[in-house]
Amino acid sequence: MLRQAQQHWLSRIILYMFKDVPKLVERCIQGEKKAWEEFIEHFSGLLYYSARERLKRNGIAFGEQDIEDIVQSVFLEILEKGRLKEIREREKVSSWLSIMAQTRALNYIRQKRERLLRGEEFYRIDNIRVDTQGHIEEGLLIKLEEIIEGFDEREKIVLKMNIIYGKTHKEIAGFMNISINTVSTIIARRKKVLKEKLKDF
Amino acid sequence: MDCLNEKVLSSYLDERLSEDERRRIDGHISKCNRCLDLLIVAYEAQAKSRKVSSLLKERVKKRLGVKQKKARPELKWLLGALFLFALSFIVKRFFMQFLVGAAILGFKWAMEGEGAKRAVMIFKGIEKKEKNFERKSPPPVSDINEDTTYGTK
Repeated sequence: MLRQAQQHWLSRIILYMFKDVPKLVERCIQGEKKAWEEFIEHFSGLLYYSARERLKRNGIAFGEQDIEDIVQSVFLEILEKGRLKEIREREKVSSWLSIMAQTRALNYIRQKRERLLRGEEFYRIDNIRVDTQGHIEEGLLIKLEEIIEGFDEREKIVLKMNIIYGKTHKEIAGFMNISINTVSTIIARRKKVLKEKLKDF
Repeated sequence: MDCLNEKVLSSYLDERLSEDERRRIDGHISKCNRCLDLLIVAYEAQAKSRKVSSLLKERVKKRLGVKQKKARPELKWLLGALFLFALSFIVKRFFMQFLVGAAILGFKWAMEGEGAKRAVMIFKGIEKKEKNFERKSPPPVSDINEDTTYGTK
């Protein structure tokens, strides 16, 4: 009895300390103010990182105030339009929030600059700035895109993530939900072809 | 090329897709750098998202009309830690359990407290200042020319 009570209270304390996200989302949907406060506390960092990283990677100049405005507008949209109701699996809300923050960041900058840029221009592979250790030449990136064009879809993603984004085999496996062995095999096999074709670079 | 919407993209990272659906998205992101890049940042954000200033959170809450928190919300963790620490000496049977509980709450207090953040900032500031005022050793005598002057004439 005592042990059961102990376990019950321990689980309640752990839930309170480390946030039960599905429950939190549910409380937000029901319009509980305290829950919204917790929601903002919990996800501000994620939205901040996502918006900042998106603008940085696209080589867009921005200030801290811009990021704060973006984070605010995302929370405002979720609250006013009741967008949390659209989420089917409530424990998996963070990737949706991150993608939302990124797209809103680009919309915000577009509006701020008052000029229309075509979507593809923003995301052209040579426009993307990535924090890899070495600097990759733009010409090399374009050539790389040309070479991998004929590869299998999964192989393309694996190679882009490894060469352009500098991700480890483990990270790629986690991202694509495949085994590390599969990733390693693809990289080992295809890198030989790439080396051969990129000899001049 | 029609890009995938936010919900479909996020479902790729959340592993709730059938093999066919996953293959369809793989097919798209292998060609579309926009969607692949959005997904990669979202993937990284889950691990790298950092703490943001309490000022930003307060401003967001204020704008959304959400009630603001008390001035020192982290104090509850400190009080809890002290309470468990005291309890560990009173109820000796569960000494270790209470002590571990006190340590967890103490850690939580240290991580959330403005005091801890301020202390880190002060240490960093001192370190920077020390570097700026570090005395440089004088140049070797062999490097001093006849024209070199020191101080005012």
